[in-house]
Amino acid sequence: MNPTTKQNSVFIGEGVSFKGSINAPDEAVIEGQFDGDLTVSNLLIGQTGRVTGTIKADRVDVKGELNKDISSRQLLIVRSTGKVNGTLEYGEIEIERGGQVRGNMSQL
Amino acid sequence: MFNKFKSAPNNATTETEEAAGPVAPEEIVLVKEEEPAVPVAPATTTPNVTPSATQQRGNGMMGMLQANVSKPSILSEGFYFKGELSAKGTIHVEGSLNGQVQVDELTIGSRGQVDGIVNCKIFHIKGRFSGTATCEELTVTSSATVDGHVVYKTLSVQKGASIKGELLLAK
Repeated sequence: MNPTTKQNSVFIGEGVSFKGSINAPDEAVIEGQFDGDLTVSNLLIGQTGRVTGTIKADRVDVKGELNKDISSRQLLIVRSTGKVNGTLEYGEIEIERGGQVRGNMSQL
Repeated sequence: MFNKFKSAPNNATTETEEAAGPVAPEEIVLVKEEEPAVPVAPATTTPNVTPSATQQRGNGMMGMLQANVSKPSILSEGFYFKGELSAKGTIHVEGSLNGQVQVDELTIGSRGQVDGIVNCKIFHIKGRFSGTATCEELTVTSSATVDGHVVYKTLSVQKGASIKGELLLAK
């Protein structure tokens, strides 16, 4: 998996801290710290990833931390190491055992 | 009448018996208590007794369950309960339950519906739940619909579940 070579994708590595708005038509893989708004198609938050902000995506896969408002049009998966805090909107949700979810949830 | 219960759940709920090892000696104790009261009568009325008996089990077993917590109580489909329910052990709801529930393990079957306040250790939701729940282990399967406020310690949600409301992690 090397999304840095894919078009329309963004990869934020571990240890990298980013503040701002990202609009990526395809995929965003976040393994560092992200603060801001994120509009992507596929969002993958790695185990070391910490995302805080308003997220709009089609698919979200959380292995790390995700805070604030999340809107995932299709699927939202919280893995066993995932922690989600905030207002969730999802088309379909799956939470692996051990995943932590805190907040208001509603199905789109 | 309760002699029949001993044989019926042996086939239906073998999984609970495997989990609870020391069921056998306790079983014998209970059978002995009931024997003088109801000798052989149920043998002839078995087909009639069973459907309503399963409904009565929710209430009838409660008094017995205080001493022996190995068998689950089942509220079958079509059984509507409104009020306060407090028990040790497991409750399977395939019918409809409205009110307050305090139990060790609560399973809402795929056709089951629970509305109200639930307080339990293990909570399996396969059907419909609305209200407030406080539990330790929460499992929501794909056929489930949850509407309300749930506090949990461990969470597992299968793809396809519908959850509306608030989930809170209790530390």
